[in-house]
Amino acid sequence: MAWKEFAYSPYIFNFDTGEIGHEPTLAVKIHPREDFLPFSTRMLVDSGAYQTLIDAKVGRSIGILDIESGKSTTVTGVSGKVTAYEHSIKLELTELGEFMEINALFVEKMGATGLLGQKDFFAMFNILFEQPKLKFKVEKVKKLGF
Amino acid sequence: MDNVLNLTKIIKREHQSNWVAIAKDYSEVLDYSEDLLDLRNKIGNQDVVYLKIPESGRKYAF
Repeated sequence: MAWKEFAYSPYIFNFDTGEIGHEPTLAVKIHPREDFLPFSTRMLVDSGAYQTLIDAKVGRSIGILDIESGKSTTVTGVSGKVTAYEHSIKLELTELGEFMEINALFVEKMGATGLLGQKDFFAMFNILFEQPKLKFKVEKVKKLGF
Repeated sequence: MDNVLNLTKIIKREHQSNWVAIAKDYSEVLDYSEDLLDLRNKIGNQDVVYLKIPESGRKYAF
């Protein structure tokens, strides 16, 4: 896969002031367990996340009903620690035409839908952030698929 | 480069801190709820994009 370029997505950071923010996100489809529907969303490309993190409610909605049955680990952020539970998921990167089977961490009450992190996403793709230009580029470096 | 995905025209104040279901072409918010499972039940098998909208003005550092 050659480098593919994406624009940062604008969003309203503050509804009171009208301040606009911009963030690098990619469209993903999380493939479900049996009898559940797939979950399409956008996830933040986040080099500050050690591993891909996803809100626990997303996990339940794709059939991981007992989130706490996964291997538990502590995730430390700037505001403290939370317990996360690891589960294997199949992730389709729809804008890249790629599939990944990864162990994602599920966390209760995240501030976002999900974060594409270092251990899995960044290990498989070169990422070039060009925030002053409000664009980023992605290039696959490892064989993927499921 | 792909077109810029701009959700600023469809995400409104009432959506903050909620889950939204957005049409596949990102043209409109179809529904929203504080509870994702409730929203998924309402949307059914429509092909939509789900997003959790952060609280307005809150700065995140993951």
